[in-house]
Amino acid sequence: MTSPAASPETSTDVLAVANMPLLWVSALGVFLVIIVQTAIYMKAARRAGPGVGMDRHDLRVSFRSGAVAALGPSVAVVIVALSLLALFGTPGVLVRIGLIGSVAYETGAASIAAGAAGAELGGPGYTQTAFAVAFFAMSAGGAMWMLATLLLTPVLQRSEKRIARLNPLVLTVVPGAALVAAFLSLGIAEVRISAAHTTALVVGGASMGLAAYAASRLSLPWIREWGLGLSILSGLAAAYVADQAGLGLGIS
Amino acid sequence: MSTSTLGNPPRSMAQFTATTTRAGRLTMIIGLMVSLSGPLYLVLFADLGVTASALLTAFAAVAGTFFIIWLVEPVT
Amino acid sequence: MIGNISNKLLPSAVVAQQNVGAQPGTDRGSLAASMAICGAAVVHIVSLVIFVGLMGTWLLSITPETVLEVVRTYVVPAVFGAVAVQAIITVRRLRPVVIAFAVAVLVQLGLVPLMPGLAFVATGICVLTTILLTWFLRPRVAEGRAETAASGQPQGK
Repeated sequence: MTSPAASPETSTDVLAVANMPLLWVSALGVFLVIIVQTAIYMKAARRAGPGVGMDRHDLRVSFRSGAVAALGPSVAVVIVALSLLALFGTPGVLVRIGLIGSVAYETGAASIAAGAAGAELGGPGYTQTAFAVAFFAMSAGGAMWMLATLLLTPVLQRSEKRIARLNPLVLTVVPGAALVAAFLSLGIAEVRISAAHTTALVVGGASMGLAAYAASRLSLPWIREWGLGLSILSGLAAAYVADQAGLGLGIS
Repeated sequence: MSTSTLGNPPRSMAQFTATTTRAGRLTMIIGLMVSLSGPLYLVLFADLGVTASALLTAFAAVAGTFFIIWLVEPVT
Repeated sequence: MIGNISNKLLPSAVVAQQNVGAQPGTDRGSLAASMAICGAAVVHIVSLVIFVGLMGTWLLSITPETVLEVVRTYVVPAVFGAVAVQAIITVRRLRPVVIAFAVAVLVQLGLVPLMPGLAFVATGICVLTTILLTWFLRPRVAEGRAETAASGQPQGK
C-alpha cells in the first residue's frame, strides 16, 4: 500500500482514481444513452408492428426470446468484468468491457498505452498517472475505431470486393493472423516479467483451448461462452500458486 | 406466413427503418462522446501529472497497432 | 452501440423469429430481430448494473489488498493467454499461427531485450511483420481451391 502523501506519479493506489465519482457519472451516462436507444427502437417497433402483421403479443414474445438468450452470455461477460475490476476500476470496466469494447481490444490497448508511459499494466510502475494515460488511450482508440468504421465502411466494402476477387486469402487468413500476432506478442511480452506471469499466460491459454475442445467435443456451447472468464480465473489461480512458490514478484 | 413478401415494404416499415437508423447513429455518437468524458476529465482536470506528450505517445502506439489490424480486418 | 451487443446475440434474433413464426429477411422477421436485440440489451444492462456495478463494488470493498494485488499483477497475462488461443482457434490454420508465434517470440524475447526503447511499438512490429509474411509465404499452389487440399496444410479438425 502507498502512503497518502504519495503523488499520482508514484502512487499505485489506482482504484482511488479509477473509482472517482465523476467517472461513475460518465459511466451512468453511457448506460442512459443505451437505455434511451433501446426505448426508441422498441417504440418504433411497436408503431410499425400493426402495419406488417406483428401484434403486441408477437413483439413481447420476441423481446422475451432475446432476453432469455442473453442470460448466459451476459453472465459470462460478468465473470470477465469482475476479474478486471482491480485493474481498471468499476466505472471503467462497466463502460469499456461491459458496454462498448471487447476484453481483448481494451486490455491490449491499455497494455500498449501503459508501455508507452513506461509502465507495465498491473505492474509496480502502474501508477495513477499510468492508469489515466491507459484509460484515455483505450477510450480514444475505441472511439476512433468506431467512427472510422462508421465513416469508411461504404468505401472499404467497395475495395473489399475487388480484393476478394484478387485473392480470398487476404480477407480470411491475413486479418486472423494479424490478431493472433497482436495477442501472442502482448502475451509473450509478459514472459519477460516473471515465471509467474508466464504461468498465468500458459494456463490461461491452455484453459481456453481445453474449453473450446470440450465445447465442440461434448457439444455444450455454454462452455465456449464461459470459456474466457473461466480461463482467466484458472490463469489467476495458477499465477497465485506460482507467486507463493517464489516464481513471481512476491506479492504477500 | 409472412405478410409482406410482395412489392415495396409498407410505409410503417420504411418509417421504422428511418427512425432506427437515425436514432442508432445519433445515440452512438452521443454515447462515444459521453464515454470519452470520463477519461478526458481524468487527464485534464484531475491533476494526475499526465503530460500531453505522454498522451500523444500512448495514443499513437495504440492507434498505430490497431489501425493496421483495422485496415486488414474484413468489414462485415 | 447496441450493435456491439447484437453481434454476439444474432442467435437470439433467430430464436425470436422462430418463436413468432417470422421468416428472416421479411419485415416481420426484422421487427422480431429488433425486439430480440432490445430484450438482450435490457438483460445485459441489468446484469451489468447488479453483478458488476453493485456486487463488484461490494466485492472490491471486502477483498483484502493482497488478493487485489495478485489479481492486478497477473490478470493481464491470463487475459492475453486466453485471448490469443481464442484468436488461434478462429484462424484454424497452422501456417499463419506458426508465423505469428515465431515473429512474436523473436521480437519480444530477441529484439526488445536488445533495444528496450522499442518495447511499446513491439506489438505493432509483430502485427505488420506477420501480415507481410503471411502474405508472401502463402501457399502458392493454384490459389483458391487448392488452398485447402494441396500442400498438406492442416485445416483444424
